[in-house]
Amino acid sequence: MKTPDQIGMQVREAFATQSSDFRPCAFFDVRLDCIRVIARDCSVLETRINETLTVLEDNYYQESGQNQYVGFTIKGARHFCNQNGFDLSYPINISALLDAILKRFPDLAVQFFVNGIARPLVKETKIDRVDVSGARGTLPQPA
Amino acid sequence: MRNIQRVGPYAEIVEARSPENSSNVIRVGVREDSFQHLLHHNLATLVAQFYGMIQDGGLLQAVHAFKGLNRPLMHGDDEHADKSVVVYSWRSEVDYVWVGSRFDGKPVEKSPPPNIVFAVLIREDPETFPGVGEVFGSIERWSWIKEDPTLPHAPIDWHKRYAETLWSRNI
Repeated sequence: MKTPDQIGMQVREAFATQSSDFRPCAFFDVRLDCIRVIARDCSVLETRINETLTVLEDNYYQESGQNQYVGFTIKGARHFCNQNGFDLSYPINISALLDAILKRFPDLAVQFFVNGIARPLVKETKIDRVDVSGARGTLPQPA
Repeated sequence: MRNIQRVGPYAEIVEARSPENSSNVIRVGVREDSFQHLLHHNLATLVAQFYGMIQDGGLLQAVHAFKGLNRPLMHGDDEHADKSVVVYSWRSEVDYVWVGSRFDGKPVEKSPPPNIVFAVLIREDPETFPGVGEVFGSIERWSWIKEDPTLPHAPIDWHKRYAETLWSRNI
């Protein structure tokens, strides 16, 4: 088993060519077909809201005193975006994406997730848009 | 034994238990583009978790293996990519959080909160490389999930999340 010092050396070596530190981000994970919104670099607990939505919680938020919720994932993003008329050629407004999620899943759990967690998170971190150009595949684009 | 690194499209190759038989060991890898994605977004905690909890025998600690995600997943032209995902899970005894900048920060070892399990998603995409042999597929994601109250070491609602159970080990 490796020591934290050994792990630290490997991490620093891996990041040797990177020049900045973490910033809140939203991106399309092309290999798992999902949109990830990440507000903080931390150890994350993924809690499933439904087959499309997962909320990310900091495993140690009570120790750090920081926000419990640090992001969310929209799974099956290519289908979801196409079914809801988003043009994958351009960055998608996350607020519009959340509106579409509420429309598609109008149950209480999703309302709580969108209005109580996701909207405040994207507002606080100023994550406005997500580039989903990597999601453009063989699916027909909306007219 | 140190794991082999940099093979074909893979930045790192690690050992895992075979989806077919938990007694056999196979190789899986993290693709260079996936790893670069983590680096690009400066997700140092995820990178520390990979080196501390997956590499060098970490993934061999898996207690359960499942196959198939019960959710839509397109990959390239494959509209049924959900079917080719294998999920390993176990109660890892340690967790790592990166504290500080990448230049002067460090991984802090943590005892994970109770009733959560570590899950690693692997896409089956077997390919053989000279001098290395077969690499079963690519590690796509790792994260913590609440533990199922009826099946220790398994993610909550595993029977809803995954299409089938491949094996479970008695430990």
